[in-house]
Amino acid sequence: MSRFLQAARGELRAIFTDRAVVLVMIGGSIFYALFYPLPYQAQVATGLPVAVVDHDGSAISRELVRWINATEQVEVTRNSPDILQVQDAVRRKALAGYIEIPHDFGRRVLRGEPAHIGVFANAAYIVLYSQVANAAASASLAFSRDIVEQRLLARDQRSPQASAALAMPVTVDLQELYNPDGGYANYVVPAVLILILQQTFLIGICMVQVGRREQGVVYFAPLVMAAQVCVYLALQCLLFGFYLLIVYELFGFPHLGSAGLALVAVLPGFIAVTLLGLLLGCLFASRETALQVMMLVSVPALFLAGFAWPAEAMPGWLVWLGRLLPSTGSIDVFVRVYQMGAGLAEIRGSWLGLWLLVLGYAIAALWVCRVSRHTGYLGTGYSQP
Amino acid sequence: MSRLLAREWARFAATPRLWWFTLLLPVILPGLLLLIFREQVPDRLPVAAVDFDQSAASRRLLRALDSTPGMSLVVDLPDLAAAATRIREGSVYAVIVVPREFMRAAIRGEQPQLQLYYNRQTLTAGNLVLREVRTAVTTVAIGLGVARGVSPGVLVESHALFNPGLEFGRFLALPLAVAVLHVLMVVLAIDVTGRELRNGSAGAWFAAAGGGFAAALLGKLLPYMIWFFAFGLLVLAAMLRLLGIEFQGSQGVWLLGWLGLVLASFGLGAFLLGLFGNLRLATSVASVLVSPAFAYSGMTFPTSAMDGFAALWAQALPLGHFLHLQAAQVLMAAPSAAAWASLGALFLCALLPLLTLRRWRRWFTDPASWGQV
Repeated sequence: MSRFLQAARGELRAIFTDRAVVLVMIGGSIFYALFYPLPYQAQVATGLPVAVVDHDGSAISRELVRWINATEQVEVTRNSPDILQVQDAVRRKALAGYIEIPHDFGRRVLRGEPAHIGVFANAAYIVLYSQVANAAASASLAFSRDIVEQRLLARDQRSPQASAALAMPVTVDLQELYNPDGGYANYVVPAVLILILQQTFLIGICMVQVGRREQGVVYFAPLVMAAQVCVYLALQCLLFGFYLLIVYELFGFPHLGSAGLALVAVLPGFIAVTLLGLLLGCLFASRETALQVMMLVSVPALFLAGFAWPAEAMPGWLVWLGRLLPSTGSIDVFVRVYQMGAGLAEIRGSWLGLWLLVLGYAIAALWVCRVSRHTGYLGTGYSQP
Repeated sequence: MSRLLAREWARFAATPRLWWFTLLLPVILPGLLLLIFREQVPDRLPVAAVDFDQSAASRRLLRALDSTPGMSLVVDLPDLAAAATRIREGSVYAVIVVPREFMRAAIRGEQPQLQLYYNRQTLTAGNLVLREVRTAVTTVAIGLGVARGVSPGVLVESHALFNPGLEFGRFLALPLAVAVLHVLMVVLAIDVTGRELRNGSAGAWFAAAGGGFAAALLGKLLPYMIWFFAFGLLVLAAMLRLLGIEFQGSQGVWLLGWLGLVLASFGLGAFLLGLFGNLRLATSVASVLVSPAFAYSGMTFPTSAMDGFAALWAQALPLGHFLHLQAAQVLMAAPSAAAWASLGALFLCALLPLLTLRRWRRWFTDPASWGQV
């Protein structure tokens, strides 16, 4: 036991006496967590500029424009019959889109015939398109119901209830779950926090191990490895607590689950990260390699996690490959437990998968670190001092 | 100069890491992104149904929903509790609930209401399902109305400009590939210069250049810049081809933009190393600048909705400037004049190392500054 404690103390000393490690692993985890959510702070894009190309110019078409303008997502900033000029403004991104109303719009509405309008939105940017298309569609739908209802009430002398029912024979009651108003930060940040913690710890753990090897210290035994896992696990838990208690509070991210259960969910992920770090620490030749590699894999790792882009749309073998990264499983269990309020039984598959990773990386780390105590693998050449 | 080039070639040839950075990773990383987004449009997203009505009408409606391309009704569940579990398990993105007496209410004209519970935590998938369900139900509703002699008031036709198939996959894969190439270039610029300081060979490097700090720096980075300009171009052209994107605007402006990004990336790297004179510190700071650059670029969440510091920072980073220029030229057929501001920002960023020439003098000539780890 004393050897275990000695090893743990040694690891802590190695971490906290190394400025670079403290800077990346502790400083980086805190800094990135506060820096990453900033661009998404507004949560939703509102008041996007759109134009109306009104070839009709009737009182009815102007009324429709008022309905569209009343939505939160768009703001009609231009009303011009010159479609070429409007299209040019869309190309230069001065406008997010435009609504074209044909010349017979008002007349058709008065005659009780279906009237068409065209909504054109910039789909090179997913958020611009969906905001403009949704705003125009929901405003026009409501406007349309209103017209038909009044028509039935006035002309056909129907009861208000029957008019409403005929105007829209079936409706959908939309119940959004877990993320009010589809906030962008609520969607991206919880997953990114887990990835940040993984990347900074992989870098830090590698740096400590490689640094030790560069100084010629041979430092390996299963008991030592157990002590190292405990030390890094404790540090990850502390930072995880900082995320849940401070970062969530600061940015006001909603969540349904409890912090305790979230910790239980991500615990195997944290252990897997530590073991992977120890493994890579045996493989990398220089202290900078970990930093460089992690910078490069961050973006693919985020998308392999299958939350930003549905895993259903990826090739099956790639999804399996992605599961080799602890972040994939950790993000999945964390988002479902903390954001969506899932219980352990509901995350069982991914959670057991993370424990399998722990087992696999433990065996690999023990094996590789025993075999290659001195030699590096990546980046040989002149990187050795 | 030729001595410097020969020296660099010898160093390059002997360093597997540099082979990875210049030959393998520029293909592997964009290739990986290409594979992730291969489908381009996520289709057949799994959705559950809870049919409390079990009538001919409810079954017809659910069949209509199942046949829309974006979603697939994978399971019929007896109650809401079972449905909630499926959503929390992550096996479905949404649940459609058909109320009891749905058919009778529809026949009596009582405006029955379906319920759609959709997961907005997974925003992309949730929004896709929402759009499919709304479209399908509106179509059914209009059909029912028309059958009773009620014609709809206003019909909306949505047109997705510059991306008619709403294939967001390919419009993410391309900018993300550029983002990883950008990170790669900055990392490489810092690596090849920083290792010389770390290993104490900066003096030999300077001597091989035969005078002039700027010449030494430029001579070292120029081969890599030329390589990344040409090879990156090849990789991006291959991606455009594989993603099936047809060029809409000016290829010349896009080419100039890519040149700008290459110069800006190497400029940023050389600037950071000049500033800190330390490989690890410069790489750490670069990580702070370039790792979140895609988030700040406004390619996903629009720049116009950012405020305060984030809006300023988005303008300060080179990556976003190129990505918007690229979207404008490749997809949107924007006028060339729209690109000047972006080009200006990129070439300005390429000049950053000029600010650190005085410090470079020290890194080249002061052996005491070498060997820092």
